[in-house]
Amino acid sequence: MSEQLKGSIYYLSSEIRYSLSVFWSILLSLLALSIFIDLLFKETNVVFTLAFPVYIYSAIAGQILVKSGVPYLIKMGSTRKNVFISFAVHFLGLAMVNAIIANTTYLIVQLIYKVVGVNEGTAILNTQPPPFGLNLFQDTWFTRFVIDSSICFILLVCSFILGLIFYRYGLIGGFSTIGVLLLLLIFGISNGWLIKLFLPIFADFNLSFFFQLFLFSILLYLFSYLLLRKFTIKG
Amino acid sequence: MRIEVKNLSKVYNQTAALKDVSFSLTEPKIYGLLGRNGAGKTTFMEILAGHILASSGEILINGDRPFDNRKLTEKICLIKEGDNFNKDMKVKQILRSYSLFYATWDHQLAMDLIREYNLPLHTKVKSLSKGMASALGIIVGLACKAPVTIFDEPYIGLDAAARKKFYEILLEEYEKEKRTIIFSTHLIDEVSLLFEEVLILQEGTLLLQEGAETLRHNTCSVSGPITEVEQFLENKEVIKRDQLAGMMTAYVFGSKTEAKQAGLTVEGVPIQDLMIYLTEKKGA
Repeated sequence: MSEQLKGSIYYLSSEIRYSLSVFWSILLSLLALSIFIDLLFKETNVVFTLAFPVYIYSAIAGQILVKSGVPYLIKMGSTRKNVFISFAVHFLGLAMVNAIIANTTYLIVQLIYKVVGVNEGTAILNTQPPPFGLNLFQDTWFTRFVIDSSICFILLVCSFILGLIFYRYGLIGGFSTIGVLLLLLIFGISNGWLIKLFLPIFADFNLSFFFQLFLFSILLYLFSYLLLRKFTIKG
Repeated sequence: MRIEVKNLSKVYNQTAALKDVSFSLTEPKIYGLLGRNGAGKTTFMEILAGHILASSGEILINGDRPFDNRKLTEKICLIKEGDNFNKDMKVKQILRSYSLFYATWDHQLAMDLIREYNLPLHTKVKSLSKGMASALGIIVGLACKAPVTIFDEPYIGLDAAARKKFYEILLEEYEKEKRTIIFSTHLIDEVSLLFEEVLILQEGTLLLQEGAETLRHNTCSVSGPITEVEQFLENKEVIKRDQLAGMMTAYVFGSKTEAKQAGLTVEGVPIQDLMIYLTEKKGA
């Protein structure tokens, strides 16, 4: 690995460290409070999900990193190719770290409930979105890790691309892109071709979907190079 | 490193920042890039550093274009008057990042300068005062020891003593290891003695490129009775004339000895005044 690539990865990890630690401190504090309330008042039914805040964080982080990462890396002398590679490594790492923390926390909370001897079902910790037919999968740490990291990764990639569009083409370009995507979505649903496209996937829905999602994210990420290739710094 | 600027133009939304500029910087020297606001200095430096693309023309460094060229970008360091660093990062993290990007990074020098300017290593950039943030830029610019180091008004908020220290260290480091330093500033009087070559830009065009010593020797201000001064000015390139009560003062490209022989009062023209007079001269 070149020193420049090391520098880019070091820069991005230093940049995200603060926001990541603030995010997890708040989330874990809220979780601890929820568990405390649940254990204190046993008749309550606390529902706490770690997955959705992590997804929301991923959907925001990609866009923020465009502004706070790309121009500064170029100012330090990084090439666009190195920016592209370092962001890919960074997003992959970030998605995996978030998935590991979320699912390990889930295991720890399960253990706490076992130790305390309270019915595990009292506090429900969803670490993956509920409507995915979870009963089709084995509910293991690894399964949840694959699901969460693939969803986090695609959200990071999408928000990164959107951030690049906003940076390069301004508000008009950014909102026009969102508008076109929404129109395509509405058009696709009303015409039925979008449903036809996704129906076979959900008919045979299994864990491999998330591996496919990951591969699709990589393909989508490759597209971001077109936006990075001639990236210039705005004053 | 040899820098060749060939027919360089840059247009922002129908406003031309650079208009067909051509020149060469052939040797490692301290170059003073001067000009009024909007002359195109920052645009030129950004293209040179590979931050932006030219609309037409090109800059070649040792025959290659700097844009997205790793071989060159790791040899160029541009420090601007602001927004050089991510404000959420700590001073220590900034230094570490730059040390990984520049193979020529001098850690010892960086630490010495950190002590000299009394910068807290564990403080975020956003918590630094304006002067401290400028000092950080200066430290990075000096410690990276890039063969092409560009300072674009790098010391906003720095007090006179800190600026003087910067000039001293810059000169000291330059004496130790010659490199191309391009310095753009509006505090020309303070730094003009550092310059070895001066480039003056005006409204996107190159007005003058001359060795600083040559400029000092070949420009002078002559004063005396109007007729005598006018006689001396014949066939000479005059930068500016002022008349008051039968007396005339003129700024001219010419020999001081010749002016003295003509019985006129002769003084040197500071580079700052020269820049002002030259850029005042319409169509120069």
